[in-house]
Amino acid sequence: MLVCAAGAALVTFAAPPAIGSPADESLWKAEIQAGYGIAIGGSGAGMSRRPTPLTITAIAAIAFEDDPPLAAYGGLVAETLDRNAAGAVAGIELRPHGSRFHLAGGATVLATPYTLWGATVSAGACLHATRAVGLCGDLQVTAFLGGSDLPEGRTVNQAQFALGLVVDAP
Amino acid sequence: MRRSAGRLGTGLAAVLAIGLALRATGCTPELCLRNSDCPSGMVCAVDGSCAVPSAGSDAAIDGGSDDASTIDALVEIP
Repeated sequence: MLVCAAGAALVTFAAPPAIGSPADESLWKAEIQAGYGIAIGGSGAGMSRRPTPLTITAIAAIAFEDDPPLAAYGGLVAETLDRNAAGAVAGIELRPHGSRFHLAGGATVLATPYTLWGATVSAGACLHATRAVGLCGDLQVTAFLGGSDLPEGRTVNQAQFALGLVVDAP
Repeated sequence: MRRSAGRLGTGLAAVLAIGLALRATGCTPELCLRNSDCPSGMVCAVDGSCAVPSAGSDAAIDGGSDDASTIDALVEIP
Protein backbone atom coordinates (compact mmCIF):
# COMPACT_ATOMS: atom_id res chain seq x y z
CA MET A 1 0.00 0.00 0.00
CA LEU A 2 2.86 2.35 0.93
CA VAL A 3 4.66 1.47 -2.26
CA CYS A 4 1.48 2.17 -4.19
CA ALA A 5 1.27 5.65 -2.64
CA ALA A 6 4.93 6.22 -3.44
CA GLY A 7 4.21 5.36 -7.05
CA ALA A 8 1.46 7.95 -7.14
CA ALA A 9 3.80 10.55 -5.63
CA LEU A 10 6.40 9.74 -8.25
CA VAL A 11 3.84 10.34 -10.94
CA THR A 12 2.93 13.65 -9.33
CA PHE A 13 6.46 15.02 -9.41
CA ALA A 14 7.46 13.63 -12.79
CA ALA A 15 6.29 16.54 -14.92
CA PRO A 16 9.15 18.45 -16.58
CA PRO A 17 9.80 22.05 -15.48
CA ALA A 18 8.02 24.88 -17.26
CA ILE A 19 10.35 26.82 -19.52
CA GLY A 20 9.96 28.73 -22.75
CA SER A 21 8.77 26.83 -25.79
CA PRO A 22 9.39 27.62 -29.44
CA ALA A 23 6.01 26.22 -30.35
CA ASP A 24 3.73 27.80 -27.76
CA GLU A 25 2.22 30.19 -30.31
CA SER A 26 1.00 27.45 -32.65
CA LEU A 27 -2.54 27.67 -33.96
CA TRP A 28 -3.20 23.97 -33.79
CA LYS A 29 -1.57 20.77 -32.70
CA ALA A 30 -2.12 17.04 -32.95
CA GLU A 31 -1.03 14.70 -30.22
CA ILE A 32 -1.04 11.02 -29.40
CA GLN A 33 -0.66 10.04 -25.77
CA ALA A 34 -0.20 6.87 -23.76
CA GLY A 35 -1.21 7.08 -20.12
CA TYR A 36 -0.74 4.71 -17.22
CA GLY A 37 -1.16 5.14 -13.48
CA ILE A 38 -3.18 4.32 -10.42
CA ALA A 39 -6.94 4.18 -9.85
CA ILE A 40 -8.48 4.61 -6.43
CA GLY A 41 -12.01 3.92 -5.31
CA GLY A 42 -14.04 3.29 -2.19
CA SER A 43 -13.38 4.76 1.23
CA GLY A 44 -12.03 3.70 4.61
CA ALA A 45 -11.39 -0.02 4.91
CA GLY A 46 -13.12 -0.54 1.60
CA MET A 47 -10.68 1.66 -0.30
CA SER A 48 -8.77 -0.11 -3.02
CA ARG A 49 -6.06 0.89 -5.46
CA ARG A 50 -5.07 -0.79 -8.65
CA PRO A 51 -3.17 0.04 -11.81
CA THR A 52 -5.25 1.72 -14.49
CA PRO A 53 -5.67 0.30 -17.96
CA LEU A 54 -3.27 1.67 -20.56
CA THR A 55 -5.08 4.66 -22.00
CA ILE A 56 -4.30 5.69 -25.57
CA THR A 57 -5.56 9.11 -26.62
CA ALA A 58 -5.38 10.86 -29.99
CA ILE A 59 -6.40 14.50 -29.95
CA ALA A 60 -6.38 17.62 -32.07
CA ALA A 61 -6.41 21.10 -30.53
CA ILE A 62 -7.01 24.48 -32.07
CA ALA A 63 -6.40 27.85 -30.48
CA PHE A 64 -9.51 30.00 -30.25
CA GLU A 65 -8.46 32.76 -27.88
CA ASP A 66 -5.22 34.70 -27.64
CA ASP A 67 -5.65 36.39 -24.28
CA PRO A 68 -5.95 34.26 -22.28
CA PRO A 69 -4.28 31.72 -24.61
CA LEU A 70 -6.93 29.03 -24.84
CA ALA A 71 -7.32 26.08 -27.17
CA ALA A 72 -10.15 23.63 -27.60
CA TYR A 73 -9.28 19.97 -27.97
CA GLY A 74 -11.14 16.85 -28.90
CA GLY A 75 -10.32 13.34 -29.91
CA LEU A 76 -10.62 9.63 -29.37
CA VAL A 77 -9.66 7.55 -26.37
CA ALA A 78 -9.14 3.83 -25.95
CA GLU A 79 -8.46 1.67 -22.93
CA THR A 80 -6.38 -1.42 -23.43
CA LEU A 81 -4.08 -4.02 -21.81
CA ASP A 82 -6.62 -6.01 -19.80
CA ARG A 83 -9.72 -4.71 -21.58
CA ASN A 84 -10.75 -2.92 -24.74
CA ALA A 85 -12.97 0.12 -24.69
CA ALA A 86 -13.33 3.21 -26.82
CA GLY A 87 -14.74 6.67 -26.45
CA ALA A 88 -14.03 10.36 -26.83
CA VAL A 89 -12.44 13.26 -24.99
CA ALA A 90 -13.01 17.00 -25.27
CA GLY A 91 -12.06 20.08 -23.33
CA ILE A 92 -10.15 23.33 -23.08
CA GLU A 93 -6.43 23.85 -22.71
CA LEU A 94 -4.58 26.86 -21.35
CA ARG A 95 -1.16 27.40 -22.88
CA PRO A 96 0.49 30.47 -21.30
CA HIS A 97 2.62 32.56 -23.66
CA GLY A 98 6.33 31.93 -23.40
CA SER A 99 5.91 28.77 -21.39
CA ARG A 100 6.09 25.06 -22.07
CA PHE A 101 3.63 24.48 -19.29
CA HIS A 102 -0.02 23.82 -20.04
CA LEU A 103 -3.18 23.10 -18.12
CA ALA A 104 -6.29 21.39 -19.41
CA GLY A 105 -9.74 20.43 -18.25
CA GLY A 106 -12.47 18.51 -19.96
CA ALA A 107 -14.59 15.41 -20.18
CA THR A 108 -13.80 11.78 -20.87
CA VAL A 109 -16.53 9.47 -22.12
CA LEU A 110 -16.14 5.78 -22.88
CA ALA A 111 -18.99 4.59 -25.04
CA THR A 112 -18.35 0.99 -25.99
CA PRO A 113 -18.59 -1.84 -24.94
CA TYR A 114 -19.54 -0.25 -21.62
CA THR A 115 -20.22 3.35 -20.69
CA LEU A 116 -18.14 5.46 -18.36
CA TRP A 117 -17.95 9.21 -18.06
CA GLY A 118 -16.04 11.65 -15.97
CA ALA A 119 -14.12 14.89 -15.65
CA THR A 120 -10.41 15.20 -16.38
CA VAL A 121 -7.86 17.83 -15.39
CA SER A 122 -4.24 17.69 -16.44
CA ALA A 123 -1.02 19.65 -16.17
CA GLY A 124 2.19 19.11 -18.03
CA ALA A 125 4.88 20.45 -20.29
CA CYS A 126 6.37 19.77 -23.70
CA LEU A 127 9.97 19.51 -24.84
CA HIS A 128 10.47 20.16 -28.53
CA ALA A 129 13.09 18.28 -30.52
CA THR A 130 12.29 20.51 -33.50
CA ARG A 131 10.07 23.55 -33.89
CA ALA A 132 7.13 21.35 -34.84
CA VAL A 133 7.65 18.03 -33.07
CA GLY A 134 7.95 17.46 -29.38
CA LEU A 135 7.48 15.14 -26.46
CA CYS A 136 4.95 16.01 -23.76
CA GLY A 137 4.55 14.72 -20.24
CA ASP A 138 1.31 15.23 -18.37
CA LEU A 139 -0.18 14.30 -15.06
CA GLN A 140 -3.84 13.56 -15.70
CA VAL A 141 -6.40 13.13 -12.96
CA THR A 142 -9.82 11.78 -13.91
CA ALA A 143 -12.85 11.38 -11.71
CA PHE A 144 -15.20 8.81 -13.21
CA LEU A 145 -18.64 9.72 -11.97
CA GLY A 146 -21.07 7.52 -13.84
CA GLY A 147 -21.73 4.85 -16.41
CA SER A 148 -22.50 1.18 -16.62
CA ASP A 149 -18.92 0.24 -15.72
CA LEU A 150 -19.17 1.65 -12.21
CA PRO A 151 -20.75 -0.29 -9.36
CA GLU A 152 -23.80 1.48 -8.03
CA GLY A 153 -22.96 4.33 -5.69
CA ARG A 154 -19.24 4.27 -6.41
CA THR A 155 -16.94 6.72 -8.13
CA VAL A 156 -13.40 5.98 -9.24
CA ASN A 157 -10.53 8.44 -9.41
CA GLN A 158 -7.42 7.79 -11.41
CA ALA A 159 -4.08 9.54 -11.76
CA GLN A 160 -2.05 8.80 -14.83
CA PHE A 161 1.24 9.93 -16.25
CA ALA A 162 0.75 10.45 -19.96
CA LEU A 163 3.58 10.56 -22.45
CA GLY A 164 2.65 12.24 -25.70
CA LEU A 165 4.11 12.89 -29.12
CA VAL A 166 2.94 16.29 -30.33
CA VAL A 167 3.01 17.96 -33.72
CA ASP A 168 2.54 21.74 -33.68
CA ALA A 169 1.64 23.96 -36.61
CA PRO A 170 2.37 27.69 -36.83
CA MET B 1 20.03 19.69 -31.14
CA ARG B 2 22.23 17.57 -28.88
CA ARG B 3 20.75 19.36 -25.86
CA SER B 4 17.21 18.62 -27.05
CA ALA B 5 18.08 14.99 -27.60
CA GLY B 6 19.47 14.86 -24.08
CA ARG B 7 16.27 16.30 -22.67
CA LEU B 8 14.18 13.79 -24.59
CA GLY B 9 16.41 11.00 -23.30
CA THR B 10 15.97 12.22 -19.75
CA GLY B 11 12.22 12.39 -20.25
CA LEU B 12 12.09 8.86 -21.62
CA ALA B 13 14.21 7.58 -18.74
CA ALA B 14 11.83 9.23 -16.28
CA VAL B 15 8.84 7.64 -17.96
CA LEU B 16 10.49 4.23 -17.92
CA ALA B 17 11.28 4.63 -14.21
CA ILE B 18 7.68 5.56 -13.51
CA GLY B 19 6.42 2.59 -15.48
CA LEU B 20 8.69 0.22 -13.58
CA ALA B 21 7.64 1.76 -10.27
CA LEU B 22 3.98 1.37 -11.12
CA ARG B 23 4.57 -2.17 -12.30
CA ALA B 24 6.22 -2.97 -8.98
CA THR B 25 3.38 -1.49 -6.92
CA GLY B 26 1.13 -4.39 -6.21
CA CYS B 27 -1.62 -2.09 -4.97
CA THR B 28 -4.70 -4.21 -4.43
CA PRO B 29 -5.24 -5.68 -7.88
CA GLU B 30 -7.32 -8.49 -6.42
CA LEU B 31 -9.97 -5.89 -5.61
CA CYS B 32 -12.05 -4.42 -8.39
CA LEU B 33 -13.03 -0.82 -8.88
CA ARG B 34 -15.01 -1.12 -12.08
CA ASN B 35 -17.14 -3.88 -13.57
CA SER B 36 -14.62 -4.22 -16.39
CA ASP B 37 -11.97 -5.19 -13.80
CA CYS B 38 -13.88 -8.45 -13.34
CA PRO B 39 -13.98 -11.53 -15.55
CA SER B 40 -16.73 -11.64 -18.14
CA GLY B 41 -20.11 -12.41 -16.60
CA MET B 42 -19.19 -10.95 -13.21
CA VAL B 43 -19.61 -7.47 -11.81
CA CYS B 44 -17.76 -5.48 -9.20
CA ALA B 45 -19.49 -5.41 -5.83
CA VAL B 46 -19.28 -2.42 -3.49
CA ASP B 47 -16.81 -4.31 -1.26
CA GLY B 48 -14.41 -4.62 -4.18
CA SER B 49 -15.00 -8.28 -4.94
CA CYS B 50 -16.13 -9.69 -8.26
CA ALA B 51 -19.45 -11.45 -8.02
CA VAL B 52 -22.04 -13.04 -10.23
CA PRO B 53 -24.86 -10.52 -10.55
CA SER B 54 -28.08 -11.44 -8.87
CA ALA B 55 -31.09 -11.79 -11.14
CA GLY B 56 -33.05 -8.62 -11.58
CA SER B 57 -30.35 -6.29 -10.34
CA ASP B 58 -29.25 -3.37 -12.48
CA ALA B 59 -25.75 -4.75 -12.41
CA ALA B 60 -27.02 -7.96 -13.96
CA ILE B 61 -28.15 -5.97 -16.95
CA ASP B 62 -25.41 -3.38 -17.30
CA GLY B 63 -22.40 -5.01 -15.75
CA GLY B 64 -19.08 -5.93 -17.25
CA SER B 65 -18.35 -5.75 -20.90
CA ASP B 66 -21.56 -7.46 -21.94
CA ASP B 67 -23.75 -5.81 -24.49
CA ALA B 68 -26.53 -4.30 -22.41
CA SER B 69 -29.09 -4.15 -25.21
CA THR B 70 -28.72 -7.86 -25.87
CA ILE B 71 -29.27 -8.74 -22.24
CA ASP B 72 -32.13 -6.27 -21.93
CA ALA B 73 -33.83 -8.07 -24.80
CA LEU B 74 -33.30 -11.45 -23.13
CA VAL B 75 -34.83 -10.39 -19.83
CA GLU B 76 -37.73 -8.49 -21.34
CA ILE B 77 -41.07 -9.93 -20.21
CA PRO B 78 -44.03 -9.40 -22.54
